Amino acid sequence: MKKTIIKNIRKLGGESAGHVVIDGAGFIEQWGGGAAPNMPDAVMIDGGGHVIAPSFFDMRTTINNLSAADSLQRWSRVLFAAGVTHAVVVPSQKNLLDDAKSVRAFLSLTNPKNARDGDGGDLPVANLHCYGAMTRGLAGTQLSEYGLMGLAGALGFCDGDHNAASSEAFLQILRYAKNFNALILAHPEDPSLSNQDAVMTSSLLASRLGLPSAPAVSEAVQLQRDITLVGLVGGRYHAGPITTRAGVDIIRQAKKRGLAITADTAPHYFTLNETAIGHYLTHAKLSPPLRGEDDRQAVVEGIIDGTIDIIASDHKPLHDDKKRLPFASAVVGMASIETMLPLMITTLHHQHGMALEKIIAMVTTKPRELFAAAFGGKKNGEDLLAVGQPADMVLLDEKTLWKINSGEFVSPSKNTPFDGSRVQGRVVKTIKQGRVVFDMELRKEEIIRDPMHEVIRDPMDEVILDHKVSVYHLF
Amino acid sequence: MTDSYLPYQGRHLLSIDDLSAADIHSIIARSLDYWQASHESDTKNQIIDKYRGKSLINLFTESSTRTQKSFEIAGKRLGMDVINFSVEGSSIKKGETILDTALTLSAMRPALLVVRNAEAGSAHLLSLKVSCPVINAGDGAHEHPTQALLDAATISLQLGGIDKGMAQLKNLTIAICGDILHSRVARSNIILWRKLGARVRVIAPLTLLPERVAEMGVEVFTDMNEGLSDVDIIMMLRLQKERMNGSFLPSPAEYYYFYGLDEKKLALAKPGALVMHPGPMNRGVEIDSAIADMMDRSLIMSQVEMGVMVRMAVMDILLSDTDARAKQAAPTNRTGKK
Repeated sequence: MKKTIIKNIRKLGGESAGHVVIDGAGFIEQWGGGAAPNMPDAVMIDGGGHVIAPSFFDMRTTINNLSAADSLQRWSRVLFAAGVTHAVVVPSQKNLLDDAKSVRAFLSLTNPKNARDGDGGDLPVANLHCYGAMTRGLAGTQLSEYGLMGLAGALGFCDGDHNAASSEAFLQILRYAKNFNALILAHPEDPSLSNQDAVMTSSLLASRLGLPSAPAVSEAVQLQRDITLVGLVGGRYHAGPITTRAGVDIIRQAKKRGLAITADTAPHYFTLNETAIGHYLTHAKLSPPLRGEDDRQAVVEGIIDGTIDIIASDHKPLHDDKKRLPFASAVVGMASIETMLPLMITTLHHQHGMALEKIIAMVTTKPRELFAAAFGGKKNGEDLLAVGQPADMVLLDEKTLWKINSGEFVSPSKNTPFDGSRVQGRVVKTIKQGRVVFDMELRKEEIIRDPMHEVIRDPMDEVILDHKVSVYHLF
Repeated sequence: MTDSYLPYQGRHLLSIDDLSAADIHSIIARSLDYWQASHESDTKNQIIDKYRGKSLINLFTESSTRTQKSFEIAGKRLGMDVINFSVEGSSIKKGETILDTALTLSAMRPALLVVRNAEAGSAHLLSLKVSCPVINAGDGAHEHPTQALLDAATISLQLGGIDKGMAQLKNLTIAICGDILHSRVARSNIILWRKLGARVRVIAPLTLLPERVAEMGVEVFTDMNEGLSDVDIIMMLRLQKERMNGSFLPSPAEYYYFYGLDEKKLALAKPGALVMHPGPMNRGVEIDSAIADMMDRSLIMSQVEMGVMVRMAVMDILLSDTDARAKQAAPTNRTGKK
């Protein structure tokens, strides 16, 4: 295999142009400043002056239909379009993963060695991992086999967007998980408050729309219970997605007390508020539901002060038929992975001035730290791109203003409330094992190239402060 | 018979907690004497005739095979008439409380009442009300004192008899593995081994460990591979199958893989480490069948045999001078210990 040189790039946090040499086996061979070396046999890629970052690790993705090796190729293309090379799949009713056998079967399908050459060519595939179900059948009552599933390769245990309703059951879950130092990932909604009837957060808007709702404190109730029990038992606990001010505060206080807990949120929770539902837009029907503006702002604050550790896509692609229904009947979830980076950069970097390297750490090093045991210890951003490491990286453009068009998603699912939204920042190229596995230039997008708006600082400050207009309506 | 130990002075046998190390010593010594005697045909008759004309009532409100039969055989070998009381067809089935049933039975003047009941503290309750000595044959998840005594007697015998065996006990590390939370056997054994100076470990998933169990003077492990390292004796506990699915454990397969005693895990213990089990066993769940049947390592059948001897010893001690004990017993002291 030929060497590859990516020239004209900037490292995260740096301004000066440089280049990286990738050896024929797909590992980083050398970093250099200034002009790239002249290597006639090497594949030369122009980085266009963009930032190069480690590829992303998405800790919450739903995949229901992984049934054959060719779907691994298809899924890989979706993930690569988002800059993601590692993703952890969440159990769902269609993909229960509630015993060791099903975990082994899933990981066998996702083993790159089993990927079939076909329409994906000989390009590398993404690394798909999975959680095991926290309880059998995701029913919240009976323990599943954490020990055997852990040996089979499950990275942690969760029940998708469900939680154990019974405190006694959750106490036993924590106790049993502790035997294996297993990570328990809990969905922050109290099942008795956020029951199946509730389809949005309780608010004036819910009253006006006439939709059944659950109070936002459902999150606090659940987290408070969980964390109280974690305080009793100990063990590894992760909560997410966090969507409310009360939830952020509880996590913040628990961390101050020294509990080994972590938390995540998803881009839609820090970008949208409940008004994105508009006139019953089912693409904005999520679990947890979109919250009020104060909650959205609290999530941003939680990210900036480090209370929230990780950003996950919470990608839940659905067929149109699941969304083309009256609001209460539509299925929860959205196709969110391809909008993950643009929303992170738009909201957190441009609007709130958060440093790019801190934002990127939330989808690179932070999730890897959470699963450190499975991936051979902690790695910071620099380590991930050190000489000798696999050349799994993302070339990203944090400046360009463009308009999201779900029709151009690589994902066959287009269920997004962000269709037509203007964002700033995107994945330009994704590189896996030294090979370009996604190239934005090869896709047809309408990119708004406006020299006057190359860098936008807080374009929405005005309206966010007076809270009168939803963020959604600004797009 | 060995006379070198002071006999136990208690009126009842309710808990290992009520026994001193010397009491335990004396009971084990007498048990080993019975064991010796039972293997010498010329002394057998002398034993059998000792309490002819007295009666023993087995009041078992919880199902039991080996313990009830063991007490029955022990009573008969001591020459007693044994009445087995079971719940089926009894007044308890008609709604009578166990206390009233026990009082009724007590009025019939038995020499001994052996009680098994699903509720912790029931033997203590009955001991306060009935006129005869009470032996606790298992009260809920509290204690099963004769089981712990027979376990200690079995090991003493294995280690060379009362003097040599008891001396060696102080140097032993004993691991009790499995459902500690619900086990009365574990509680009695922990207390007994600690009193005799042995090091005790408990090994179980956290869902099957009692709260703050370390404060009972044991080392706590949740990993068999760590907990079994360098132990002399492994005591496996029965895992109730009803706990296999639910909030205690996920499945028999997972339990066996991580907590079942197989050859690989046994190899982590000291060479020649002994294996015990109070029975009944779930082969392939908490113990590999091949290990349960190991002639040189498994003491399981010896435990059953020693059970009869220990129960004979306990009955003998409690009956030997009942009237004198009754006079000695302080009114406020349940066990009559001075």
